[in-house]
Amino acid sequence: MKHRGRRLYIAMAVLAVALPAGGFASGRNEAAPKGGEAGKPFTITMFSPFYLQQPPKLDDNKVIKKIEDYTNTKMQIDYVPSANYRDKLNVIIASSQLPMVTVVDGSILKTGNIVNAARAGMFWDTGAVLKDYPGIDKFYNNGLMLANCSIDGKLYGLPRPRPVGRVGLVYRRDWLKALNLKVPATMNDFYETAKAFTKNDPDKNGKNDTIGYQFVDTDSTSPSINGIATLVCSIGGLNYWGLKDGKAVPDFMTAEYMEVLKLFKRMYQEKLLNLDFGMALGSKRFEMFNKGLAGMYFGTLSDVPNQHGDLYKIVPTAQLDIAPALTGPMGQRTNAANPGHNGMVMFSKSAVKTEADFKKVMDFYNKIVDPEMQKLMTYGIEGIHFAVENGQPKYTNAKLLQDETADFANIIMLRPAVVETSADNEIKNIMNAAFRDNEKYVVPNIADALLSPTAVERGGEIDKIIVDARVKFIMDAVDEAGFKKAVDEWVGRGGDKIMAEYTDQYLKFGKK
Amino acid sequence: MSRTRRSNSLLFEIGNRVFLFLIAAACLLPFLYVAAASVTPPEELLVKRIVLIPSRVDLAAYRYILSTKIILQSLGVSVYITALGTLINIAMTAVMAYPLSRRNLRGRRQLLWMVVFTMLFNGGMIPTYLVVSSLHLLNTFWSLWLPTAISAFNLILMRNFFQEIPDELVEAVKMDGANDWQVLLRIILPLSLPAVATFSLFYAVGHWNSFFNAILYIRDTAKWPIQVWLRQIVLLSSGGFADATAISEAEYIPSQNTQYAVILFATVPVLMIYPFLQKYFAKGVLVGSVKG
Repeated sequence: MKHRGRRLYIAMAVLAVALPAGGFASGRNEAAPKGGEAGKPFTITMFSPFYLQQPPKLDDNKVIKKIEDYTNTKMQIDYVPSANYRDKLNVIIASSQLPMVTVVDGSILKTGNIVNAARAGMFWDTGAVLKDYPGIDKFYNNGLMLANCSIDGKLYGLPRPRPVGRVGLVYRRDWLKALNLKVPATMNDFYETAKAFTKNDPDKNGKNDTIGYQFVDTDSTSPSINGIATLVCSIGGLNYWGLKDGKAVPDFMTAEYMEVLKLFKRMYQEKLLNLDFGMALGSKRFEMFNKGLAGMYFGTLSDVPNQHGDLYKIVPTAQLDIAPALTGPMGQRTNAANPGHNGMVMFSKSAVKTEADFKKVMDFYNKIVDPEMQKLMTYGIEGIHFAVENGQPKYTNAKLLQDETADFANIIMLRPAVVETSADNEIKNIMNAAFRDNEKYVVPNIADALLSPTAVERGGEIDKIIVDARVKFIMDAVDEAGFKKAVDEWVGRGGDKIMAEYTDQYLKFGKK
Repeated sequence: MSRTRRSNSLLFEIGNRVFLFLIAAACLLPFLYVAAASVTPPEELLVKRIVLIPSRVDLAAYRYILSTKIILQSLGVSVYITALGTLINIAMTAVMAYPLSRRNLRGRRQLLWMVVFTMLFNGGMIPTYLVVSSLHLLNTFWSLWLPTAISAFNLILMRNFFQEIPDELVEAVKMDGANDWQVLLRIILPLSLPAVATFSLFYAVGHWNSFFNAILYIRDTAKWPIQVWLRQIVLLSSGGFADATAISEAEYIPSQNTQYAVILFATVPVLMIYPFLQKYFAKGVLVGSVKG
């Protein structure tokens, strides 16, 4: 009996060792990055999320081949689906397996893991050497963006620029024409337009089936799409975080914010907006609009050219337009929807070991911002992706270009905030014009350049208190005093700390 | 009297059938809906609430999914991972469940306790990654098979099933000169086919549906299972999670019916396993094997 038991143990142990043996051999095929000697291409390892159906194919990719030839490098890119990027990045940081170039997008740039890694010296300080690379230096002429990317006042990578004034009021131009209205220019115009769109049958089908404003307010993480910040700024308020009497305060403690909430409450009572705004899911946020039942929404302007395919199928005569930044007592103003960047590409010291290698990586990016490279990434290769018509490049195979460069050009490479494309796409031109215009009127969010450990740790959680109270206030379930009580709760559960930390950081770094 | 009883039983029969039919419909209709929606033109899907018979068949969603050869290739990877993975699961689980099911094993309780411990506590994502990495399993399929080779829960269930097989039977076989391996392979496993079939199914579905470990442990995108890509398509078609700036002119958001096509794509292969396993769910194999 005993003897038999022991034999089984041995059998189990043997099996456990024998089974994986086959895997070891294939486990060691990770290519080690090697610095090339002069003349030989320099291998750069990269780590990046991808957002589309699949990452661009890397072998037999003519665009990538051209970039590699131009910069004398060999790119080796590991891709991870965007939804899981953060997890994978965390394990890679924890196991110190960072490649040379790592994409750190805006949503994770200021999280504890990255901040601690940067403070611990895991990344090269690019801010110190930026002046040595005239191409990049000229490319980044936006001081605000550089400040917003810094950690403790230092720049640990190369920012990926994005349009600052990225949100706005999108409306149905055909409805506006049908009712003989003018383009809304103030908060009050916005209200009047919503009213007309609701009551005056803008689609002329004889039915009272339209709403003026499609409102979504559920997600505290993407508040820029609910329009509150845009309206608050237009009447002179703060963009999330601002300075009052030398202290950092959040917008929801200000009178302007209350004024906007009261407007929404009124619109809710008059049924000028969708009554389910507190429930509508993020992915369904265009449903009413795309069915041709809603006339306006506040949102990310980048969505305008590509989220409304369904609308044109259902209402072929639909026309979209973007209103200019709204005007208020302080003139035209809109909220900066993001800090002018979407994170950075960062260079790890464990993979880029020497100063010489770091110079090579920086040289690579210095060449990427050359006009020739920028044109290549925008239009592709003449004869394959585009042809020149009347002196203007025109896409001939945009799908192929997307397969070959999307998820690549914008993410690991450096592109300007507003990528100009050829002039044959009306809605794209409207979008780009709005990006450019808005930039003049943006109100920055001072917190973008600052760090608050409490905000990272607890911010999302306690901000839900505010979102909750806001939804209830608009739906008339609580009154102004009730909302104030929620704000007090926010202060009590860590909000006071966040305010103190931001104020402290602002006094240290923010004034630069 | 007998007539009323008969009409009563007829009434019951009819009622019963209607009831069962309704239950069957409740199970089948969602599936039919998904199948129909996957070939419905997206604009029809948007306007109507429920579509069972589309006005015209629109195969754009399938064309989109199959527009890249990566889907078919990863389908092969998934089948490979699932087939071999399940084999490893069953082999490892059975080899451990058998000794634990025999009362004469020394330290049985301690071993069992260690197994239960892993059900309550685990190292978490990063330590597990470090272990897999230091065993040089990264970028191999073994990183998907070995860390999940034995599910503690299934192990305990299988052990309980093995325990039902009487010791007398095992002793009788040993009397005839069989060693433990022969007992396991010739007696225990054949008598436990229903259990083996059930756990194969559990494990296979687990392998089929998993994507996260592949993303975590495997760098080479050609080795990713189909779920990674299908999930990406679903996220993409549920609208705009793309990077901040639009990238090119042709930015394409797949239409809503793509999601339904994806669901079909992901479930049908697993559904096809069921009929093959069903015949093993026979019971009563053991009845009468030990007398008095």
